[in-house]
Amino acid sequence: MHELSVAAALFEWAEEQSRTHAPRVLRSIELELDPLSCLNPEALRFGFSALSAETPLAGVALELVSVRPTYECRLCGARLAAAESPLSCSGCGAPLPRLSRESSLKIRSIEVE
Amino acid sequence: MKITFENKVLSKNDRIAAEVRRHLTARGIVAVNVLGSPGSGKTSLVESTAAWCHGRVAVAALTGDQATRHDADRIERSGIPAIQITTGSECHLNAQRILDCVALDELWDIELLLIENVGNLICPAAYDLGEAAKVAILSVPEGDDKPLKYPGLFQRADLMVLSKIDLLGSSDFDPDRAEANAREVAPHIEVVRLSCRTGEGLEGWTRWLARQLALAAPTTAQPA
Repeated sequence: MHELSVAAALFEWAEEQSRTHAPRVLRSIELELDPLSCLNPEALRFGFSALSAETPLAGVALELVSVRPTYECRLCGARLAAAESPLSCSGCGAPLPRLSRESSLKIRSIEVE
Repeated sequence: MKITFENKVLSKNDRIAAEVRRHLTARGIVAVNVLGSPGSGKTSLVESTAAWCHGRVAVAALTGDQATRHDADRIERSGIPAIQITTGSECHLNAQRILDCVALDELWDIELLLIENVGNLICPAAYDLGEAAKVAILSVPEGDDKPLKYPGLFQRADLMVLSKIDLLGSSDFDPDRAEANAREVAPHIEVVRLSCRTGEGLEGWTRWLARQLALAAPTTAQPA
C-alpha cells in the first residue's frame, strides 16, 4: 500500500550502509516481513529496484523473510509470535493478547563483499 | 561478509511513533487514535466525549483531514481545544504530524488526547501514531461485513465502536453479526454499541475510556 515510501527509506538506509562499508560492495539486504504489515513484497521489490536503477546500488538483492506476527499480552507485556491471534498469553494466561505495535518490517542483515 | 542487525526498524514512522509514545507517557497523557470511514461518526464521538470529559478529564483533540478545518471548528464548539491537521494529498496521519503537535500549549496540561484520523478504513491502520489504544468505528450504514473486508484495521484496534445504532432497523445491518465478524478477524477486540445522536450506549464508551485512563495512572501503572 505504501511500499514506495518504505522502499525510499530502505534505499536511503542502503546508500548509507554502502558508504560506511566502502570499498566493499553491498550485495544483498535481508528483511523480516510480517504478513500483517500491509506491505506487498513484490511492490516493495519493484520500488527498490526502480530507485536503485542506474545508481551504485543497482542489482542489490532484497531477501524478504516472512515471519509470524507478534502479539503482546495486555497484562504482563509478554511478546508472543503466532500465526493466528492467540486466545491467551502463554506467560500469565491473561486473555486475548493484541497485535504488537512494533514494526512489522525489520532489517536482519546485509551481505557485503 | 554478512553483517547482522539487532531489531533494526526500517520505518521512520515507527521510530517517530516511539518518540511520541515516550513524550506522552512521561506526561501521563493517554492518546486514543480513532479510525473509521468518512462519515462513520468519528467527529461526533469526539464531541460526545468532550461533553463527558467536562469537569472530569482534561482533554484535547487532534483531527486529521485532507482539507478544511471544519472538524476542528465543530469540536471546539463542544468546548475543548482542537487542532486541525490538514494532510493535503496524504490519506492518513503519520507519527511526525503528532510529534509536531505534542509541545503545543493546547496539549500541555491534558490527560486525554483524542486523535481523529483521516476518514479511511485502510491506510491509517498501518501507521502507529504513538497512541495508547486504537479505536475502529463502524457505523450502521456501512454494513456489518466490513470487518471481514478490511481486517487490517480491526486486527490492530483495541475497541470497535458500532455507531449510529439509532439507525438499526433501517437496513439489514445486524449488530451481532458485525461483532462476530470483528471477532473472527480479531478475537481480542472489545465492542461497544452507541448512538451519539440519542446518547444510547455512550456509557459503554466512557467506561472503556475511564479504564484506559486508570491503566495509565501512575499508581496502577502496567508494563507497556
